[in-house]
Amino acid sequence: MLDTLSYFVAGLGTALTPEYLMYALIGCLVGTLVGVLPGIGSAGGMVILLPITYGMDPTGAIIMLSAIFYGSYYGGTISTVLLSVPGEVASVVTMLDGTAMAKQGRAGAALSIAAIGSFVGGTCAVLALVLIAPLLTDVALRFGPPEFFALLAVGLATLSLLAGESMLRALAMAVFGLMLGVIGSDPTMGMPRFTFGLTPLLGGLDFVPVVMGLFGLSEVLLASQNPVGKVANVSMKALYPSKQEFKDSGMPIARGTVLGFFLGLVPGTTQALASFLSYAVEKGVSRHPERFGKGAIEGVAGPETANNSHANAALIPLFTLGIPGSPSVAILLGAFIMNGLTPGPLLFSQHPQVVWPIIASMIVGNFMLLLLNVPLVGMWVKVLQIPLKILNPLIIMFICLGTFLVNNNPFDVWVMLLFGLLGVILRKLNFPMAPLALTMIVGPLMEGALRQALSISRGGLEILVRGPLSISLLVIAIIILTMPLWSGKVRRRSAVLGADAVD
Amino acid sequence: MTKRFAAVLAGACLIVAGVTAAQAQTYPEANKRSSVIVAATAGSGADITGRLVTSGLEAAFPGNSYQVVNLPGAGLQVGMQALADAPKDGYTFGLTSLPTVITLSMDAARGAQFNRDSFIPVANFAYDPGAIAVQVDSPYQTLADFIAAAKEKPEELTVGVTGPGGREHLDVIGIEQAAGVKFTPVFHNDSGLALNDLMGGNITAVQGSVGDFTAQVANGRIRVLAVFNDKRSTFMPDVATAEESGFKIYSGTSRGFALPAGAPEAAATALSDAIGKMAADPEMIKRVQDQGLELKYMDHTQYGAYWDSEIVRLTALTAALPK
Repeated sequence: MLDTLSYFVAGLGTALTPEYLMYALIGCLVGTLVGVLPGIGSAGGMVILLPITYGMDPTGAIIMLSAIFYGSYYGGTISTVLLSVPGEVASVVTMLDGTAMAKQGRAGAALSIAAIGSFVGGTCAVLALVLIAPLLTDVALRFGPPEFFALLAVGLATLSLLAGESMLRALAMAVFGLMLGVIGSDPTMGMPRFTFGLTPLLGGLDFVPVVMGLFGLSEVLLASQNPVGKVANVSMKALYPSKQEFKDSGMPIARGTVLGFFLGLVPGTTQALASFLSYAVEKGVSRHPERFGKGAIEGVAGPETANNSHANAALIPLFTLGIPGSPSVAILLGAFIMNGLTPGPLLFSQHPQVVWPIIASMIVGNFMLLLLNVPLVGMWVKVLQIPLKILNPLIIMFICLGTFLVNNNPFDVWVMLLFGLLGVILRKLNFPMAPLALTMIVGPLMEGALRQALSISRGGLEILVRGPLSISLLVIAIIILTMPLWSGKVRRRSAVLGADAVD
Repeated sequence: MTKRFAAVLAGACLIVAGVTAAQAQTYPEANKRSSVIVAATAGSGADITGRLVTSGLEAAFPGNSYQVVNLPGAGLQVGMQALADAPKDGYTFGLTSLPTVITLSMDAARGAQFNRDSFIPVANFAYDPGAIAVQVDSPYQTLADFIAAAKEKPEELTVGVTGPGGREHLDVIGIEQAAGVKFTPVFHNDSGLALNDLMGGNITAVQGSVGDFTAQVANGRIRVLAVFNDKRSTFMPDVATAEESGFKIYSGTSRGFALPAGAPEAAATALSDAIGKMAADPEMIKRVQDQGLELKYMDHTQYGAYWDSEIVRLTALTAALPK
């Protein structure tokens, strides 16, 4: 332990040398930028910039790429709140309350709280990596296919909390999302399903273009048809959170940190899943769930904390086991391997001079991002002063560009445009989008885990309840799923039939 | 005046034509920019290999530039289709991973619009032999132990592989056919997650490549039972080959290069020679080994012969896939 700390302090010394500080700063700036640009998230940003690092000093290259990785989750909030376009997929759920806050002139407060939450979540996860990572190795290994399936069942069950005014519409969208998740190759037979002979669909429908279309493009199209004046002229006081908002954010940030952290330890989960679950938790425990979707600060604080905490915690299985937990972490793994370093426990004994500065620089980078984000909130909010007729075409251009750059494939842009138009229709009919995004994330993962589990048991369903971990997760899923039936709090809010009864 | 102009023009045309004809003999022309299609995301293993080779080509042909174009999607199918449809001037070529290119085009359901005849093999560069691993505290010490257990308990041993019908899955079918046993394949889209399931004790073994396993062997978490190559791996010299255990199974993932069919033959030979020189450079050998790969150069004709022999080997195995 003391050894670890002394290594960490030595690493911090290296990370604070001007050269590495500059790499971290460049990474933070680029990360914020790719986060802000719709479509390009952490994975896309790293992929685009990775080739530049070929031939750079390994420590500097990885410091920069990691900073892009965690920095993008800060940036993602900015466009989500200000432009109603998800900067990256982990921020989708922040749209529900973030954009509502922006319409009330509280954009600055939302951004500040998100930056503070991201900082807390990210830094805590890195500190845990330094202090207790060896104790956490086991967590990743405990999740076999049955446990992973049970965890995803919890994710799916939170639908009951995400449903807005109409449970029927929410369920319809959830099923639609599951159907979209079925597109691609069958995971155990390899037969193409619903690909309509289109080669790019053989690998499944990519999440990024769908989300950018449904959430981003449709919002822009609706806004230009029916311009709602956002509150552009905000006083300095309105830029920063009020005392009450600080108070309301404390617990969501704490819960988001813990939730994101534990999900991050489970390989195969994504940052977007962490933010969705955090939103559901906040709505579930809130005394005023009816405020959610109408500008509740908790709905911004929790998810934005959870996705940063997840991002940094996902590095723990990478460093302790050498297993990349999410697609973005897999790219980071590529950067290590490219430089002749293999992540895993041996990295710490064989290359301490490389690995400790990298970890220490993550703390430094999170500080930089906090310092960059909070004072710059005022600057970002000025974006809203750009006239809509200039801003909207710009946003659409950036969405197209971002969607294209992820795979260099124009097909993705067509998918995005199609889902943008679909989003306009669905929104006009008051269908909620969040359930679709959730089931599209959860569905394919859940199918894969279920079929792996059933292969292992050769068809026996008892494997799904094989141990205390999977059983307790399934019980939690059932509790969440049935909450609207027995919890008066939830019933009052979602009004069970609500809008359906009027149709 | 017009006559003289016409004559000058005709003369100029002749000169231009002559120059072009002369240049067709020399490949590559000076200061050309080539595109290298890599059907994987930046930072992936294939991409790293691709970029190593393009940097080597830039050194071999000073003044020429080689631009990696990443076209991931649908396994390798998006990128390979783009390569088959690419301009045939010799200045667009791509990284080809065998046998995946073959298994993709064999699967009729995927509707790939390319096959062996769509490409001109250039050269093979790197190779990662197939290997099978178990948890470090597994009772199976050798491939023979593992197969003996499978004989006793048909279909009870689970083997993690990547996609259905992919190389690793076909390797398992190869073992089944050679030994007369039956395993249960467990499909993971990702070799990292398959390893996580192995180390967590959820599956009996993982069929992958030496490069997938070196890190976890060093970490002391897994044991490699056999390497499916004609010689032992330099990364794990203590591990017997399948051949030593009596199974003549040779499989692995190779990374080579190919041009679209119709491109000039001169381009294939020039690139093949340049890659051959690169493959003899000790610095390059070290850099390839750093990625956990073996450097295995095959020239233009050898690579073509290897491609053909893989098609024969895989046709027999895909016939055994469940329909």
